[in-house]
Amino acid sequence: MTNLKDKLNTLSLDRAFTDNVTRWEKIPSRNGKYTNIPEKVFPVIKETLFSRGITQLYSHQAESFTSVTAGENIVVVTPTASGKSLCYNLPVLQKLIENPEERALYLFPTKALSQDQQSELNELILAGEIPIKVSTYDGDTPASVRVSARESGRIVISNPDMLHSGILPNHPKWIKFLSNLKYVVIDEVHIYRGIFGSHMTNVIRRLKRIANFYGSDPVFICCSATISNPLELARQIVESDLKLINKSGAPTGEKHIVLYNPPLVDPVQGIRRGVVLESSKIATKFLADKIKTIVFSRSRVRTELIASYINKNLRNHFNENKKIRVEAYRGGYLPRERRAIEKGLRTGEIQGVVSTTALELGIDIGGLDLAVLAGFPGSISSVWQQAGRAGRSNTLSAAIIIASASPVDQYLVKNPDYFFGRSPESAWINPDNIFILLDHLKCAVFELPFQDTDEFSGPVTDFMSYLEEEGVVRLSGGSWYWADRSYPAEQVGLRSASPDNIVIINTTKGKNEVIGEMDLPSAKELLFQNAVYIHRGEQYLSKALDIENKCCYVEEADLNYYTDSIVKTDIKLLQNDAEDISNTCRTIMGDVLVRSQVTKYKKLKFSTHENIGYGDIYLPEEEMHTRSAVLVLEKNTVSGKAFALIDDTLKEEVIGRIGTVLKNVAPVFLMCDSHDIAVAERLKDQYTEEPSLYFYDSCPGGSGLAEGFLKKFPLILQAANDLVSSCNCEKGCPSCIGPVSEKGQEMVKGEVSKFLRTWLFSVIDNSEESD
Amino acid sequence: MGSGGALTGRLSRIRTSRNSKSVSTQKNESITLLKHPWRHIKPFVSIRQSFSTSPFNNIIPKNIPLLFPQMENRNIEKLLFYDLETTGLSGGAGTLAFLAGFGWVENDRLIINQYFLHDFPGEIDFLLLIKELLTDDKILVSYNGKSFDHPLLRTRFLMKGLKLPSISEIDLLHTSRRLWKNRLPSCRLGVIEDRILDIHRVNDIPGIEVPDIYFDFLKTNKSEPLEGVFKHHLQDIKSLAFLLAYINGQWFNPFNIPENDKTSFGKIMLFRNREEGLELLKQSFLKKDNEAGKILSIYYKRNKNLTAAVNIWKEMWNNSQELFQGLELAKYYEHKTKEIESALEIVKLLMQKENTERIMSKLEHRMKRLERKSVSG
Repeated sequence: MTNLKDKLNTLSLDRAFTDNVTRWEKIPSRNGKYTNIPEKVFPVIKETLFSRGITQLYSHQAESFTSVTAGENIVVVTPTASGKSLCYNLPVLQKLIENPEERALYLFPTKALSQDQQSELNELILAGEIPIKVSTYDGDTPASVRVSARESGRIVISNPDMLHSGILPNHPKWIKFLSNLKYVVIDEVHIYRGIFGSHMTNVIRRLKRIANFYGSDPVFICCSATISNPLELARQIVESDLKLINKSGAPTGEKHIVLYNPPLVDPVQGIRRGVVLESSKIATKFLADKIKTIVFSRSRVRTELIASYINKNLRNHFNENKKIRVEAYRGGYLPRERRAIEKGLRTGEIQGVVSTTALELGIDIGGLDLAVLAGFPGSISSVWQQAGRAGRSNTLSAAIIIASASPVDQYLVKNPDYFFGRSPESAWINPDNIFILLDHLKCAVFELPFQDTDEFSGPVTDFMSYLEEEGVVRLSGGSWYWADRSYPAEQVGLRSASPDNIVIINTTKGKNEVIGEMDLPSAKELLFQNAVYIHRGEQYLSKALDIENKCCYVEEADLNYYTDSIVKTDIKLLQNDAEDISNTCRTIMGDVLVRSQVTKYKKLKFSTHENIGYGDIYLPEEEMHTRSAVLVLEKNTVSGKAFALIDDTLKEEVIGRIGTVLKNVAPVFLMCDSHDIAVAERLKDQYTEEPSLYFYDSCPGGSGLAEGFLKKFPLILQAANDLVSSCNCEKGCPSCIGPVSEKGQEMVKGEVSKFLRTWLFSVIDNSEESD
Repeated sequence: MGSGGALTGRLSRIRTSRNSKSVSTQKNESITLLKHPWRHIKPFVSIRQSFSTSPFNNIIPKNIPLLFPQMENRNIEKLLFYDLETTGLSGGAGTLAFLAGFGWVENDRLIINQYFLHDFPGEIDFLLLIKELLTDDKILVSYNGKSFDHPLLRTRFLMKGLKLPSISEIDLLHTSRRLWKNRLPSCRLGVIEDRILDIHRVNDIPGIEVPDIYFDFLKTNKSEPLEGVFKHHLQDIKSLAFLLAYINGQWFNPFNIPENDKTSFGKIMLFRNREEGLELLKQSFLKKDNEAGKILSIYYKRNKNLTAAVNIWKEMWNNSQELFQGLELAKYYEHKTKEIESALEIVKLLMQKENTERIMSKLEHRMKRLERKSVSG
């Protein structure tokens, strides 16, 4: 594409653009590493591959084939567009042809991915008349097709939710499938992190248990995007040893990655030009020259905004916008509309698309030249997946990443080495979260009674007698039986911790429409009576939060302020599991009881954040058992000594800001949302009697984030330090330690910065000593 | 990941923090015997046999296959009326049957065996006893058994490593729906008893309460509340026999069939090539039953008796200007008699009514074609 090359050249000479670029990385093209198709691959498969132009395999595909056919569990980690699906399709088809009874189960996290894979597999199978029946089994599968999927589907494509609530509880209907289940493919394994991942391990535990009941013991094939701990994660999900295959043999074209930080508009408050306008502007530059471009944005509203700005920028009646078509693409569109846009992109009828993550995974839209990311998509692996949307195997492509004002964005754009180095982010799960585990034990005992000596994660006896006290299981003759009329899987959702969501209902002018849902603890902080709730860019005023009936009534409003609740949090350490002092403070890992109560709220004026009033909130206290890391700045440690030096009047503010900034950068390393982990700072904690910082998991029972926080602490501390020291603001801004408080404590940012530096250096020294 | 010890600690903490709604369970290993005539025959299974008069006194069994093809060449005594009471209503591997009943006709008597499962470990014996009855020369008769009881039984057998013999089944819910869907508020067995069979239950236990009564029994060992379940269950099976007998009776005396059932009976009979069906439908149509007109006219059209069909459509159209008869007439005028204007008039009339979008576009298409023909003709 000389066009793109020229355009990039021009741009690299444009000072107005390059002044805001923090890194322009050119990743050179790489040749593919090929291997011959193994001898033993059946001719019918070979012919199919030939007919699709595949005469050789990439090295990682061949490696996968060898391992899987030898009965090894594997986890494949390779970049986007590296022929990943052949890593499982090839060995599975080979073995299924070889052994006509054997079956395979493919699990994808979304329906769109399932459909995509089904059509890809079908093309493969039909092209060469491979005698393997592929069936999709999900919520959309009509009842008439379900029977044939169960009876004769050799490869069944489904998702974890369906496995959990449809297949496993009805396993006797699947006897033929399950007793011959030989391969389980878990694609996009990095998606199974946090709560979802913790549930996933338990679903796999149940699958293995039932498979064993029918005498089968499947091989697991996992695929992951690039994260720092794919093997560890896959091992936690399938609880078996796996072989890591992470050397991609696929060729790649030259790729430019440009990190762009919009210019400061107000250096004092740290306000930058907005992501929406900047990305529209940049995308327009390329689209005007007919360079095929995809813009990724983080919300549906922004998607529509950016698309309309670009179209406005391109508008020209005299040349019909040079026939350049740009469409928005997001969840909420009809399937028909989506298919039409996908097709338009493939055929070249549409040159540009602005999308939410809806287009990120799997869906075939053909090759594009440029990806513009309007804000970091939340994890670095998503950045690579989105950037991977641009570029075919041997042509030049580019991705321009535009930072928003959020701390994570600002951190990454100013510290690009994190981004280009080895992936810093790891996925964490906690399959033994007591609440999640109990939920799945209910499902498991429903599926098959437990013997007293059975294990599920550990011995089941204690759990079963707990469930017996609840009145849902019965011990009789040495076995535990499900003894309740309900269908437990129905009450357990895999993608959230609690089923008690508050439904948000818009009642403006007699309307009665549901506009969203929120978990109860967040609802108490965000939807209390008189709260200003912002949903898809619209303002609403909460009229009543009805906790008993799990709903909240809101009305559209047009106000010049937003609300911020004041939460009083009380934390009690219940169980101290492990302690150490390697981070030059005392660290504790344990179970905590978090009691929180929202008592008051502030009204803050938009743009100036000026406080224009208070109100009271009357809501019952929220109680949660969860996991927490505790950092104790003990007197005799370096961190404690450094903290003691801070002026007493500033201490409370400083420890609060340290907590904020650490929490702000943690998501980069933990692959979570910023609200998945919470922080509480104590100047003198009642348990440790020292200044202490609690970093606890927002999910009841914990989802592995507190543990992950401690493991990654040196990196998180480093990142916090880098963020604060590289931020241009004078006294603190939303992008680093948060805006300065009204008290006018100008010293706070300096103190935070000094403290973080001291702490970081001591942690580095400490780790070098111990090396 | 927490070790086993940490998990135990966590468990004991949530145990103390939860609302103490837990139920105390009596750890009583001995079995509570049920009252006579229940007989305790296996460690965890009891049986009760009941006798009543067969509702099939005067009929000729060999003719049942006209309505139920499965019955061909089988004797009425091969029918096995059955019903299950279960621990849950949603199915799935964790739902089991604790009460199973099977009834059959023998020497003009209806004999019903009920099997009761005292506790989970007895399920294998419970299923083996059932299996003895399920020989492959039998025909099961159930109410909604095809989608609920039968698959559930198959699941239970599979989970105990047993094979459920394959037996054909008559599901009377399907038959009832064909017969009475249009005139009854629902086709639940209770409604059929009340409105068709003239059976009126007193103090009957709602089916939805059954699972909890059983679980209470497991926890408390008190068997009195179960009596209601046994009675309810027994009646379900008796009603199956009475319902089949009733339908059969109508079948053989078609001209005694109540006025408002003539159409649905007539339709099935016509479908099974019995000419009485035609007569029933004609009678219904005389009483201005639209549905009967539809069925009759389609029958005539298929059998190339267009004149008869057209007469019906015309009469129906005179009675009410609805889509079915209108379209049929329009087609007839357009393609057979070439009376384009008459066809056009009907289509225009139909288009003034409220229609779905799909129908509207079809009508529009037809109208345009007719208009073209009208101009060119």
